Amino acid sequence: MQHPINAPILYIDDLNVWYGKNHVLKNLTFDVFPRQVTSFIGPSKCGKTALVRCFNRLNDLKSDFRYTGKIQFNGVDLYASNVNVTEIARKIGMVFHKPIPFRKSIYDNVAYTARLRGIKQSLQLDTIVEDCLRAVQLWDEVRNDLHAYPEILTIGQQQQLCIARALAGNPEILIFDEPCEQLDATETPKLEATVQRLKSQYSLIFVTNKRRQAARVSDIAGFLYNGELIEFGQTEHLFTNPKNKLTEDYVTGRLG
Amino acid sequence: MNAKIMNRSELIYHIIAIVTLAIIIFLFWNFSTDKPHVEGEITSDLAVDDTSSLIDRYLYRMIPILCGAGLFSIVIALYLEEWLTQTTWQYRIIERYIVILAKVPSLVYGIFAVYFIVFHSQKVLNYPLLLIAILLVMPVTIRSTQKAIQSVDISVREAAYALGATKLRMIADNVLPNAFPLIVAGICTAISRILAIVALIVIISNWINSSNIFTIPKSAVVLISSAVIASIFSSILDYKQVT
Repeated sequence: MQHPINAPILYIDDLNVWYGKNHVLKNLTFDVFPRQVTSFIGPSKCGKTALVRCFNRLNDLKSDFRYTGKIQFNGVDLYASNVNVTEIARKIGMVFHKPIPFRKSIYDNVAYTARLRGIKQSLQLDTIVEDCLRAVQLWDEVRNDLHAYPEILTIGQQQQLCIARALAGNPEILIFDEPCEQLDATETPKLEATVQRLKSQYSLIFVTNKRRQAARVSDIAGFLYNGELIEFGQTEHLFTNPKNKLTEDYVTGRLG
Repeated sequence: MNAKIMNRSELIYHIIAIVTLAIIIFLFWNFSTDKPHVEGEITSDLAVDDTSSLIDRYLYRMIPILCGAGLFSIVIALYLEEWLTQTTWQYRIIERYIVILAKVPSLVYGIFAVYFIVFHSQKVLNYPLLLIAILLVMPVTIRSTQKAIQSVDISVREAAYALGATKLRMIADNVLPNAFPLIVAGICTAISRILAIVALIVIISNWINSSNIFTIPKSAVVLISSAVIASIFSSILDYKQVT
């Protein structure tokens, strides 16, 4: 069942995050709506990655992580004690700044997430692998090498493979944490096109420090600076008519 | 296509690792059962007449214990690295002890082994020998397994968690396959240390019982060769993992 488009899929209220004594996110409040691309921009170390890692609870891996505030996913508190963390991670997938294919065949990389969902029948797995690879437009390039290791692929193709692997988990939200960081100029447009295609089915959160890229791919954008959400709203407005001086300085290139 | 070749070579490395281990175990087994111990045979303290009988009585029985110690070491290393936080005092204490034990030269254990097996074969119980064997195997295997686990990139773990893998699943699917060569390297080092000590025991026993002290028993040569092969193979696996 698809999430109603007018209700927020993620609700963040007064979120503060600390890594040890370092206060990395300060009083963040915003909503993420389904089937949109929500991007977060800002200079490096401004807290973009720390923010998105709160959504799939990857911050739990840090022993000095501490937070206050509220994060709700589909109305459920993400940090409630009865929440199944692995279930959350399956529903909120993530693609990292560098492609991390596992030491398995291309087929097994994609099937990995489907198997985590408990799917074991090979016919069903075949279908999922094909669908996911088609969704990222990688199927035609790898259909004859499904049982080869991902090292035969270019970095861009490996990143597409990682997206396909995340899709195999049937997520509701897909987070892209600077996914084009290691891609060259020819591979970046392909990934951006993939993001545009996926937004009709998934809620996408896109983190980038490339202003133009955020302007190209996102519907909603947020500007983070020193852990504070300076401005959040329609991408077009944020880039053409920013309300805050810092945002204006950043989008015009005078800052960061 | 390079990647395919690389992965084939990895596969070959793994096959070589398993075959080498099999050969070493076979040699050890073959050697230890070369001259079977006769039931009811009695040997005196110093007048040990049959080296194989010694091996049969002590080391043959130790093989399953040593295998168990190896596997237990892997479990301990996994617990230390995956469950116990590195900043806790428990981790620091266990880690320090393991490092100290792993750095004790094999010769120290060898002297104890010679003392118990060659000179006090009748008086001593099995336990001190087992303790020596376990102390010899476990620290080395734990250290190498720890290094192997630490060598797995944190991003691989995060990628697995981000897909919804549980810790056990992540360890089985991502950590152990990546760490396998270094774990085998550690096991090879431990085996090499044991084989070298057994060779020492055989040579000293032979010196005591033989009038010609310049003869080295064939079995000792086989053991030393096996120890060298195991340690070379361990170095190759270590080097490969580092590069």
